[in-house]
Amino acid sequence: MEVDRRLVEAAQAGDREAMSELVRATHRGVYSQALRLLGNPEDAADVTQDVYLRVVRKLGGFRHEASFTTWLARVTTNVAMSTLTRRSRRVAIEGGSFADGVAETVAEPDADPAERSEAIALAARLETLVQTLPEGQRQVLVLRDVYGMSTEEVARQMGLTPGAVKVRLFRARERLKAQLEATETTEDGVVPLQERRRGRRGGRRA
Amino acid sequence: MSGRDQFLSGDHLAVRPYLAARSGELEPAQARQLTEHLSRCASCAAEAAGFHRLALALEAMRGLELEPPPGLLDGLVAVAARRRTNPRLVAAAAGAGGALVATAVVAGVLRSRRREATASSSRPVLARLLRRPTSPTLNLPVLGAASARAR
Repeated sequence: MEVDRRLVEAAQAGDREAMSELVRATHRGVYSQALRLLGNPEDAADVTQDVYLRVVRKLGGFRHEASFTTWLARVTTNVAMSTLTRRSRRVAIEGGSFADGVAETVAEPDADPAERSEAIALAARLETLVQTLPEGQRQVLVLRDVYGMSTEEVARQMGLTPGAVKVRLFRARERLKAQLEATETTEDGVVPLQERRRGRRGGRRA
Repeated sequence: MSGRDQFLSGDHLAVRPYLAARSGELEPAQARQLTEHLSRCASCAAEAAGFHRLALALEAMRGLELEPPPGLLDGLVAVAARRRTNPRLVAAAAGAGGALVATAVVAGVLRSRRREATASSSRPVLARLLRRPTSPTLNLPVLGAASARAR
């Protein structure tokens, strides 16, 4: 969701009520992004708290060059990825310089209104399916396809080559598409084509 | 075996990795190869359409919000209330000496508008949040709002 610029400016000027309203208006988006990246509610709640600690500290320096929600998504990405890096490598990153990789807009070309409304309905089902992806695939997919980060930025964030990001990304998309189609055919009472494909591929893994 | 022979022999595995790519993710030669293949292969064109549909749905996920655990919001608001941003940084960000006066005026306007609109905007959201005990649950967005974001 977009936030009124005047509300942000009021919070920057030290208006506590405006700051509280800013938190209320945005915290679910921050929590959702953190949960998609981290995969569990406890870590997502911790990251959300850390995000707002950083926001109150850094909001004064926010210059409205991007929208506030874009800036907030970047902060969330940085905090979440720092947490993930610490968790996976057990190495603290001090002053990590994760870049501003969240795009202002991410639009698939040529989407008509009917496609858009179908996409929203599908998105709710995808939310569950995304969480079943292997962690590396899930993070790449969430950063790139949900939050619109460039392949190069995802690669930097995750310490991978752009080629490796694409491999994970394409596998994640293939897997999700297959799962989505499998659930649809099952609901229609048809034996899922996906079962046959899976058998033929012989347990191919990312 | 050349790429063209693979297409002619019906070996779709050659283009399968390309089908999952979005625009700009392929090298120009790969993109040309794929476009050429799709123009002649209904089966792969259908696959590509499926990936396009997936891409739109993933993009739409950003507009969906998951329900945070109860109590999280209260903690966040408390954090926000305790701390103040540095007014000197605000002035620097605005790049003008009169910025503080301007933002103070805007803040006053906002405060009065919020008093007028207590039944709208974020307050029902907060009430809804406090009523819902479970997590995480999904809040479907208003269609119009998601469409506006997508534009």
